[in-house]
Amino acid sequence: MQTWHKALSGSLAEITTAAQWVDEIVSELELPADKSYALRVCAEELLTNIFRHAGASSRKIDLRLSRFPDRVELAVEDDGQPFDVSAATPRRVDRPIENAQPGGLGVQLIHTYADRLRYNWTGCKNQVIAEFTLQQ
Amino acid sequence: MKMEIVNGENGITNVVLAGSMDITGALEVDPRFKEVSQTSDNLIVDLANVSFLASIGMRTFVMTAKALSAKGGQLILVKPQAEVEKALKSAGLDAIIPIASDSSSALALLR
Repeated sequence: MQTWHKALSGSLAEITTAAQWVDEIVSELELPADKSYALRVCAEELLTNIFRHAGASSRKIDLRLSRFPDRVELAVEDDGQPFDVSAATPRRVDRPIENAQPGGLGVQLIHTYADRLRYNWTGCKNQVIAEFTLQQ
Repeated sequence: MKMEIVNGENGITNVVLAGSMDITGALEVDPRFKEVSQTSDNLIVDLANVSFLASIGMRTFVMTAKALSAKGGQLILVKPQAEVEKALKSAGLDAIIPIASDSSSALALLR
């Protein structure tokens, strides 16, 4: 198993840097294009959720990418307000256009792109693990 | 993220985007989309050089499409890369925003 770890704050600048860090590791892993994109989506959406909704209490985020023979795991841990993304209801944009609401699509994308999603609240931290299955 | 705006004929404005429409890219272009949706009737947005689209970028497209629709106009997305198109469809945006494979098809949708 290979593991990469990054600690960051919830600032926009650091979230952008973290997304680029994920991109670099994904390139190193030489994953299929669809899995690379899926990882990128989940990293972006999980981090954006923290940035937008974790509240002023969010100060620390831990990112961990782990490569196993049959999967890659993206673990995101933050000390913001509790939010179980795995239990959140995914929603697609409403129709017709007059009824369309622009928000909430991040959860849909996370649920679409992660092959498996796990969540744990430690009592003071959110832990989300998104799994991406690899063909063997 | 780069955004080029070209005013065309008959109330159609062409927008060419390039780069990653992640949180940073989307926040950069969102104000310009708000502005152009007020001054234009129809927008054709070329996505051929957009490598990534996050939900915050989709938010910009939805708001733009609604603003144009409210005055009888339309937003059309053109030539998305395969993964970007998959993302648009997974969020259901293709149900309210037409996706065209090229500019000619996009123009045909506006006639």
